Amino acid sequence: MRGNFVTIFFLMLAVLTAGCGSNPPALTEQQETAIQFNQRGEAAFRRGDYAQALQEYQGALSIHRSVENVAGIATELLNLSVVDRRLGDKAAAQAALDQILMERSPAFSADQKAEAAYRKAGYYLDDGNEAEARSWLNKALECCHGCGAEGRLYNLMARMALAGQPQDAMNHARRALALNRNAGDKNEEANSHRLIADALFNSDDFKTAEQSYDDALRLDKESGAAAKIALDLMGLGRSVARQGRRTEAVEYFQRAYSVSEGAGDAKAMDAAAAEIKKVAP
Amino acid sequence: MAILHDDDARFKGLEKKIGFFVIIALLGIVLTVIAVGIQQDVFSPKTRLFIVTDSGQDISEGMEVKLRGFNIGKVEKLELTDDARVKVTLSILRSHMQWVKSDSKARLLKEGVIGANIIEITLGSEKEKPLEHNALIAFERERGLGQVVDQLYAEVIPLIDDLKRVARRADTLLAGLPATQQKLDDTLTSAKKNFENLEKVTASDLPAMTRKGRETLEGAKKVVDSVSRTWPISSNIKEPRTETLPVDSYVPDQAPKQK
Repeated sequence: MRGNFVTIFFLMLAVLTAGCGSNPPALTEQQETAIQFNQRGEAAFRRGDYAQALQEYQGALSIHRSVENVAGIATELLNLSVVDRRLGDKAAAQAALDQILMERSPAFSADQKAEAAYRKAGYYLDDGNEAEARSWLNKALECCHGCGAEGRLYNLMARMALAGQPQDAMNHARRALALNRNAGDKNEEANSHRLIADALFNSDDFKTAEQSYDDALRLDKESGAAAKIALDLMGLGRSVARQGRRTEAVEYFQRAYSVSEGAGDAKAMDAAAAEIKKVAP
Repeated sequence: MAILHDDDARFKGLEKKIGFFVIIALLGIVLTVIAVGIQQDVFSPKTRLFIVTDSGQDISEGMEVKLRGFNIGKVEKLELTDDARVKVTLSILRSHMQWVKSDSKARLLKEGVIGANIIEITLGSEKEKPLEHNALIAFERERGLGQVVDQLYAEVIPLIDDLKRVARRADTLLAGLPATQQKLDDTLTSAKKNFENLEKVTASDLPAMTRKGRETLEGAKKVVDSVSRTWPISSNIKEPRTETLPVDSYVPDQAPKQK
């Protein structure tokens, strides 16, 4: 009698526990194919085969268009803009983003528009057109109400303010740091730390800048971003050098040189070598 | 005695006449000798050259010395040297010495297959100077027919032996050929049977097996798919989804540098 109770108890527990979990909906054939195109595109992009990546992303975009999958269309347009930039076709990159920002049907979400505007701002900034960059950054902020790009947007604002307004830059970067930390975006969190450090350095607060560069370095090491590790080490070297610790500074620059050498970045190697020459006791 | 003192007019001045004829005859003989001497280049100035060889075989005094088929002198003398070698003196017309240079060579050879032995001197190069009187000229013997035959014989005999060995081995191989051919026939027959069987199998069983295999795989995939979507397994499997390429806020986007 007692044995039956135990069996019934476990059966009921199993039924109840199974109810807690829910099976995800099965993907349609088009969705599966589009995902395969997308994944092949990403793989091609990672290995530097941008022409192939373009082809794959265009394939994915066609499938998403055929079923009016707005999220998919936005994703592939964003991807195509990155690939177009790598292929040197800046106009095509902007045109891909314009499709998200200007096209009325199908209507893209505010988040997607914010992401596209953020990318346009970044591209304009990279190309030296600060006015256009600022304009698109403001449009992105208008669209973004707790969007995924918010932390990056404030990082970009900090980067723009860095040259002339270090205090504004620090404020933007601190806000970005909080947003990125909440979003769990380690890469952008490291960028926020580095931007804070840069702003502190520009404000001649080298001791605090050193600490922020160190925070950025810790996160960049976790994500394995060689170029950024080198930037952090260079920042650390410059900060300690300005504090008169020249031997330590040389060590940081040597580490930066070694990291850049490992990554095959000749320009960064030259920069590190120049700093070593400058501060070597 | 009366006969000797005969006053016959025909005998008048006989001594003078005889003397005159004798002188004419002697003069004729001398002129003939001179003419022959001139013809034989006896009076032409000559240059002596020497050759030294291990043997004087086939070399004789008076032997012709030629340059490009023209007679330019002769062998004047053969003598043994102190070290038992043969020194041959050649007498060459000085008028032809302009072509006998320090790099010229003397060769003993036969004119034609059965012709007389001669010494042929090769033409020297333009940059070299003509040889001086009593100079030594390099010498070599051309191989005679007998020597050539001997050498050919020495080379052909081993070849003939090899051919004999090859022929014997070929005989042995050919003797075993029927057995090998029989084995080959058997193998081919067996292979043909195997191919026929394989053809039967592929024509009937294989497509069915492939179809069944595909169906089984599709069934298994469905099972795996549905299991993988079931909680809690689904929570451990990353759902396939489209990924967006990131754009960094700090570092300008650029292609990675090639190592």
